[in-house]
Amino acid sequence: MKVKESSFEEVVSAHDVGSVVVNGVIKGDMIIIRADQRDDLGHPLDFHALNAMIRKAVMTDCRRIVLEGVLGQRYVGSAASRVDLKIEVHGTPGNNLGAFLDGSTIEVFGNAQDLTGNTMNSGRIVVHGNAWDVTGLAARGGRILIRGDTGYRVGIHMKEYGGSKPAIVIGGTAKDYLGEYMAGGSVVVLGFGTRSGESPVGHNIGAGMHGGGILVRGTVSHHQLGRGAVFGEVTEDDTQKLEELITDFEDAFKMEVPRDWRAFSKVCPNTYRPFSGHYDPTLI
Amino acid sequence: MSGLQGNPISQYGLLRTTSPRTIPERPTGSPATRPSGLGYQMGGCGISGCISTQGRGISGESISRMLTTMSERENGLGAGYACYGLFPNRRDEFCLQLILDNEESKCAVEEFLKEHADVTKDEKVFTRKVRTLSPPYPLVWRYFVKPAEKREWRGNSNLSEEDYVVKLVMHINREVEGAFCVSSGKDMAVFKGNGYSYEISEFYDINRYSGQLWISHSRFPTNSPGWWGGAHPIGILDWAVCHNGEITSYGVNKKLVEMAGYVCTLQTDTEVIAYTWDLLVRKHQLPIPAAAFAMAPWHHSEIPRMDPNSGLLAKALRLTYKEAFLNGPFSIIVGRREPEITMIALADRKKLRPLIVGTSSDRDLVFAASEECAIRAIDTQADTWTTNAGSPMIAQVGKGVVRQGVEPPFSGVVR
Repeated sequence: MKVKESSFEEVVSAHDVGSVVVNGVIKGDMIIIRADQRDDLGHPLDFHALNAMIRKAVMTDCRRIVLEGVLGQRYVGSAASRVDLKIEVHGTPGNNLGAFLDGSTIEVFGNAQDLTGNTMNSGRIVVHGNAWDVTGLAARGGRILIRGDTGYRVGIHMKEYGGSKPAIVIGGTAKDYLGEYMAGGSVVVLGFGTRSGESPVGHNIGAGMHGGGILVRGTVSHHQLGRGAVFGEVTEDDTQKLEELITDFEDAFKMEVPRDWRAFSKVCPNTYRPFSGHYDPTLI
Repeated sequence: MSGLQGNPISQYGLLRTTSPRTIPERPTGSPATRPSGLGYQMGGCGISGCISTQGRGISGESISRMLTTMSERENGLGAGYACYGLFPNRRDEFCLQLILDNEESKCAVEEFLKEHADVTKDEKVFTRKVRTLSPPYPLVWRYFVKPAEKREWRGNSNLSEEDYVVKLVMHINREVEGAFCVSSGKDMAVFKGNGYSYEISEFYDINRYSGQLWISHSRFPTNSPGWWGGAHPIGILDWAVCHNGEITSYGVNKKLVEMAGYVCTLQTDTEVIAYTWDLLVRKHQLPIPAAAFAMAPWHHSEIPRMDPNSGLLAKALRLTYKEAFLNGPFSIIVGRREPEITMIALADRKKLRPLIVGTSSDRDLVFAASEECAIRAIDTQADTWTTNAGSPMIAQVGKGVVRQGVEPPFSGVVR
C-alpha cells in the first residue's frame, strides 16, 4: 500500500485512492506520531484527533507506531487488531488504554491510568510502570504485564472461553477487590516492593469469583479473601502456567523472578456454579 | 380511571395495556434528527490540587494546566479554583468573596456587613469577558472584615470569631437575594463559576494569582443543577472542598450540619462535606485522620483487627458520628489554612472514584488529582502513588507529606 506523510497542520485531500495519509513521520516500517502537539487553547491534543491519527497509521502496513508525548488521551490503541503491529506509548496514556484490543501489542514506557485493557479480546499490553485502578476489567483474552503496582479492582469480571484465557501479571502490589467477580483467566501478583510484614494484596480478594485463579507471591490471610473465594493448592498445572507467565514477564522487563513456588498463595472460587440452586429453571 | 389501572397488580407494571397514554411519544422534528437524551457524554468531575510544602508561590497557570488537562471530565457546567496564601498583607482578616447579581444585591450585602462587622477594605475582584462564556456575568466583590467586638447572633452571645463569620455567611446565602458568599476564610479565596475550567480560569485571570496551595475542580453535574453557586470548590471559613462523586446519604449528613447551625443553600451535595469538615475538625477538634475516618469509616468487620485503642476509637467514631458517614462514591480534595496550610486528599471507603497523589522530583510540590496526566502535565518526573480507600493523604506547608494515605487509620493520632 502507498503511504504518504503529512504534518498535523496540513489539510490533506482524501481522494487519493489506494493510499493512506498518516499524520506522522515514516521511518522504514515505523510511524512516529507526535501526541505532544497542543490545540488552539494550549491544551493537550484531543483524544479524538490522536486516535484518528493512530487509526490511519494502523491502516498502513507499518509494524511499529511510536506515540511521543501522550498526556491523558483516552482510548489509545483501542480495538487495534493487526497481530504484527506494536504500538509504543511514551508519556501517560489516559483511561481505557487498549480498550477492546484484538491482537496488537501496546507497550507503555511510563504509567498507565485507570481501565487499561478494558474488555480486551486478545493481544498484549506491557506497562513499564504502574497501571492504576480497574486494569484488565472484563478481559476476555490476551495478556497484560505490569512491571510496577496496580490499584483497586484489577481483573474485575475477567472471563475465559475456549482457548481465550486472559492473564494479568503484576510485578508489584495490588489493592482491594483484586479479581472481583472473576469468571476465568489468571491474575498473578509477584509482590516486588511489598513493605515488610504486609501483604502484596488488599482486602476482598476474589469477591464473588466463580472461575479462574489468583496467584500471589507473598502472604495472604484468610480475612483478605472476599465472599466466594477460598485458598487452593498450587498444583503442577499452576506452576506450569506460572513458569510460562513469569518467563514472559522476565523477557518483557529484562529482570529475574525467583521460581519459589512455595511462596505463592492461590485464591480460587469455592464453587464454579454460584447460582445453582438459587433459581428455579422451571420458571423460565 | 380504567379498570386496569385500578387493579392492584397494575402497580408492578407487568400487564399489557391498550391505553393510548402508554405509547411512547414519537420524537418530533425531522426523521434524521436524534431525539434529545440519546447523546453520549463522558462523565466524572475532575479534581486537582497542588501544595508547595516549602511555602513557595505556585502560579495559577500551574493549577489551571493541571485541571484543563483532564478536559474529558467536565461538561462546561462549573469549574473553580481555591487559592491559599493569597493576601499576605491581610492574613488576619476574613476575606468574604461574594458573587452578586447586581448593584442592588451588593448594597444589601454592604448594609448587612456594616452592621455586623468591621469592613476594613473592599474591592472588585478582577473578571473579564470570555468569548465563549455567555452573559450575564455576575459581579464579584471581596470584603476584608474583622468581626464586631460584641459577637451576638439571635440570642447566642460570645460567639467565637469563626462561629460568628459562619453565621454571617449563612445569613447572606439564605436571606440576601442575588448574593452568595463563595469563600470566607483568612488569606484565601475561591474563584468559581459556571463554565469550562479554561473559561473560568480566563474569566478570573487565574494566572495573575500565586499561592502556596491551590485546589481546583471541573464539574460534570449529575444530580444537582449547574450554576455559579453550585460550582466547586465549596468554601466555608478557611475550608475549601472539591468533590467528584455523589453523596447518597445527603439527607442524613444535611441533618447533622443543620443541627450544628449550618444552612444548606447551594443545592449541591458537596456543601455538606465542607460543613462536616468544619464541624468535626474546627468545632469538635478531631484530628484530620479521625475526621476522615468518621466520613469514610472502615467496616465493622475490620475493626477487630485493629490494635485495641484504635479499635475503641473506631467504634466511638462510628457511633458518635454515624450521621457524618458519607455514603456513596466520592473522591475529595480539601484545603485548609488553620493552623497551617494543609491539603487533604481522600477517597471513599471502597475507592469508587479515582484519586492519585504524588510529589515533584524536588519534593517541594505535592499533587493530588483525578488522573495521573494532570500531575504529569506539571512534572513529568513526579513520583506518584494511590491512597488507600478511606485513608487521607495529608500534606502541609513546612511539614511535607505528613500522611501518605496508606497507613493504618489512626497512625500518629491514637495513644
